[in-house]
Amino acid sequence: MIKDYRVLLALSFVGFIFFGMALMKEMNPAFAKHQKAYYNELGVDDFTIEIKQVNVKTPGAILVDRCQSCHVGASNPDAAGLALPLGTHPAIVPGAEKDPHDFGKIGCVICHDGNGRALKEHDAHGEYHGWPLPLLAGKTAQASCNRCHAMEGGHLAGAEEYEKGRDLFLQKACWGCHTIAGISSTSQAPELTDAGGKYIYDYLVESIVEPSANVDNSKMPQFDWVHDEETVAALATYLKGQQKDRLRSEASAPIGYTKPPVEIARIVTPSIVAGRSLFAGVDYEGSTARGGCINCHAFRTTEGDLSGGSIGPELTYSVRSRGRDYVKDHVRNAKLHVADSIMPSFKDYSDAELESIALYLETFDFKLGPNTTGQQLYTTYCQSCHGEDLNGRGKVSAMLDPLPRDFSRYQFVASYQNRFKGSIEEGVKGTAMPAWKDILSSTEIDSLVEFIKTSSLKDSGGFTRAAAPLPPLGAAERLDYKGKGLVLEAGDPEKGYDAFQRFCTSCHGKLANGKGPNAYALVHPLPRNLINKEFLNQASVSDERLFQSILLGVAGTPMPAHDHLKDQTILDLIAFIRSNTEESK
Amino acid sequence: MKELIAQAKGFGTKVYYSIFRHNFDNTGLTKSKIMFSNVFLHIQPVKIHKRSVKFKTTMGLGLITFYLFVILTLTGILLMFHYVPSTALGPDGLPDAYSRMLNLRSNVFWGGFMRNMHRWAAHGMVAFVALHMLRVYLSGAHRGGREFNWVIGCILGLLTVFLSYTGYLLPWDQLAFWGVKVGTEIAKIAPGGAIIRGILLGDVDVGSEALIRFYVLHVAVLPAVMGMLISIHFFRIRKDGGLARPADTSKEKQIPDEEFGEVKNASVFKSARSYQLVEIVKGKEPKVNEEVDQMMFAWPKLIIREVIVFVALLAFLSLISVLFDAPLEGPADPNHPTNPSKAPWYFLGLQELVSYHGFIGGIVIPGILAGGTMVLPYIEIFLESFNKTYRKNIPGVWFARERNIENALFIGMYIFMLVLVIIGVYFRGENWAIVYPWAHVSGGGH
Repeated sequence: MIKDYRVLLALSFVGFIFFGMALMKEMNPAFAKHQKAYYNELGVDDFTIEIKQVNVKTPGAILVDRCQSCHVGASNPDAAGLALPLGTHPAIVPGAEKDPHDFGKIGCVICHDGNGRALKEHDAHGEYHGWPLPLLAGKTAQASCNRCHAMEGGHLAGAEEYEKGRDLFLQKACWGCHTIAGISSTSQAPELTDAGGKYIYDYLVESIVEPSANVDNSKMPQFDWVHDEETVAALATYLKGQQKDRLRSEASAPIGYTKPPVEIARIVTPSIVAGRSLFAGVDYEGSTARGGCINCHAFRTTEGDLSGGSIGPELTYSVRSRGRDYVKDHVRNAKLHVADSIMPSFKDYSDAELESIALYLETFDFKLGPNTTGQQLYTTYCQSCHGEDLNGRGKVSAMLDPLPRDFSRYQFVASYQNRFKGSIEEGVKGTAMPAWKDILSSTEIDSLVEFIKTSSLKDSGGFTRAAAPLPPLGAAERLDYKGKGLVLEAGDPEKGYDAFQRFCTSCHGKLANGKGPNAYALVHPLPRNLINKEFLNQASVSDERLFQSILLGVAGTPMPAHDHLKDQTILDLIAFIRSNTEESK
Repeated sequence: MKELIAQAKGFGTKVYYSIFRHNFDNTGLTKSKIMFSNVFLHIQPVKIHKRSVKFKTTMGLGLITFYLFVILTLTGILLMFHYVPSTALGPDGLPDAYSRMLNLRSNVFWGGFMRNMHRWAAHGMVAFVALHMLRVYLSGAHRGGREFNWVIGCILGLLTVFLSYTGYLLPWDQLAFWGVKVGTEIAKIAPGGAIIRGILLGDVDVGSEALIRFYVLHVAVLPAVMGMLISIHFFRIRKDGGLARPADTSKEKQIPDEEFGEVKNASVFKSARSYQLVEIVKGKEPKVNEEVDQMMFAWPKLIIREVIVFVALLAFLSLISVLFDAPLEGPADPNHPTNPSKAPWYFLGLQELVSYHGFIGGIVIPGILAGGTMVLPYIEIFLESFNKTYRKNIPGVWFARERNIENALFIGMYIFMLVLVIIGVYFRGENWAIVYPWAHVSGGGH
């Protein structure tokens, strides 16, 4: 029995200690420790430990702000030397005699976010799951200047990081795809007018650095500059500042600060200099230019050095091969020429601006010297898209649609080698392949074709494609098992539609746009977009070519042979495809 | 002067006896009086079987469950002084219920500790109900006239889960909202579940109406029902003759008499049980005096051991509550589901099953398990009656050989649920994909 009493006594003792620990923890919270340390450092003997709460009145809400219970010396200049969390807040407005921000009145949450009610560091900094506004520390707090100050343009002392991001948004061509009210208007990508209200800072950084991190099928390219942390931080700070909920209206913005006009370079007369600033996203006559082609597109200098982004095709030869009008139209609406282009529509550009870009692109005059080998030609002109190994996986290929041709498939090269010269000379419409006849001589093109053929076919055992000429109307049906004496009639789009839905949609999709369910399992090349008018209406895409592609398949690609289809069905299919892509009269 | 002292003593004695009515000496009479003159102690008999105080008999599991209920009631009442079951937005744009949670964690003295105690005790109670049930079954204590008490126990278990679940919503954070949302979505699958769900939520979705309903259920309805059923549960144990035990315990090794404290002048109680009449009322055969050697006074041994369990539990809970804060996430946001959205852990086995098949996993299997468990003793009786298999029932003996099949099945069911819960808690990540337990996953399950 006495043992039980001893156990009880011991347990009561332990329980008392734990219970006491709970009490002690409550009696001496973190903020009390900080306040004691603070007053000791400052040599103040007579002090009370208290929760220092600021109720910040804003038009919509009263922010409960208890931050200064720990950050007790934030507005006390005598505490300048103390370490965090006790020390003085550094000057917000550099060089100002007296900082206009009074923390006793506005608190901390208004700029730094976090959870103002909480008194433990982890809680107060909002670093727990699901808290919508985690702490904005250091320079990133400049995102919040926008809440009270009008920041669309002009200069606000102390908001340099935000302003840097504001310029970067224009320079890095973000504006081409993303709308921010008052800055840009496009429908290419999600609107960012309320980006800061919807997303936390870390999410914004992540979405810039790794666009597919949160949205699997994001089409946003991963830019070359995303590894520059300063650039990303400035941009993310700017985006975090884009919030629809402002704490002050424009009318009651802080004293002496009215909404300045947005200062974007105005280009009235076309010039190469203006074109250069648009292309490179650099200042034009002291104002930020809305540009940034270089973020996606590269070009070769006269010396042959390549510079620029690797998301879109190289632009060294664009004006020479396409002509100025094509380039100008393409900037305004790239989908006019390439149906599946991801290039944003820069429809806001004025004629003068478009002309300037064309003028600047015209200055690219790089050309290989005479007596070049096929290998040299390929490396210079073709490799960025078609890849070093001729496999169609060059460094800019990922964002191109249709994908560049894969020449490592010898079956394809063996079957279609006769078509190559024409494709190089005239280009392939509806794709990123330009016409090279104005840049390369006929001999050079011949040596290029030769290079591709030898590289691709050298290790192969050869491949011969069956001949299948387009049968003329009235000819006998190939698959006439019952001997009914069927003869071919002109294709019927209606029947073609039925056949298409039966045989083609798994890859080419119900809309014939090349995005059927199986397309996602295919890698290279992807199913052809059969409503790409530019592509299907060029001379080289004849009915015969379509007939052969359907009947025999396309060698070296996932397109299989369909010799189980009647000739008549294939003609119907061709009629259906043609009916989708007829040029309007 | 002496007279004065004597008068004062006399007065003191009168006051004392008006309250306690007994002394604290070692006579058998006093030990009896202590027990039956106190309403709390009289739930227990004056004399108990010596077996009852052995650890292995019950492991204190039922007792711990009851203590947790008491602790939950006390901490819950303290929390009620501060909590507001409202989703109305306060001045700083946070729902009232949620900002009260923030206050509990920051400026309400001991608020965080009380909430931690309440939260961890709630989880503990669900776990201990399950362990208690396992103990009862494996030691065959659900048979021998106690079948209906098993049913009441099962109802108590379900009530515990439901109490815990209704409390889960009250903080009105993301964890609460989506945890409860998942649970109520499962209810939709059941036939008629949508109606029950509608009555429970008072709305088509989890919202302010659901919060007030869950609150009332949590603080008034369910605890009241639970308290009543607990009384019945205890009363029936008492009427069934205390803890289940085999008919013949003379061969078992018992705690020696000395351990129960010295008893003076126990002649009256030595030869007979003090409650023969009660014993005659119950049972088919009079076993009067048969077990007298095995009986001992409940005071003080039993009471001290029960207090030990309580103090140990309180100490442990305090430590846990000092060390670990109850989870709290951002305020509930119906537009932004957490990924994954996990129900509280005791429902994760169910959620895991639902992820395979809504109706079979969400209704059929859990329905069979819960309903089957509840009527399990009757199934046993049914099978024994119609198969004419006379099975010697040995209540109060762990893993009786005659019950191997039943025990194996029951343990199998527990392992099945436990594995599902473990998979749900530790191995499910975003989009309910299988992840390693050390991969960081936030969004529920605790």
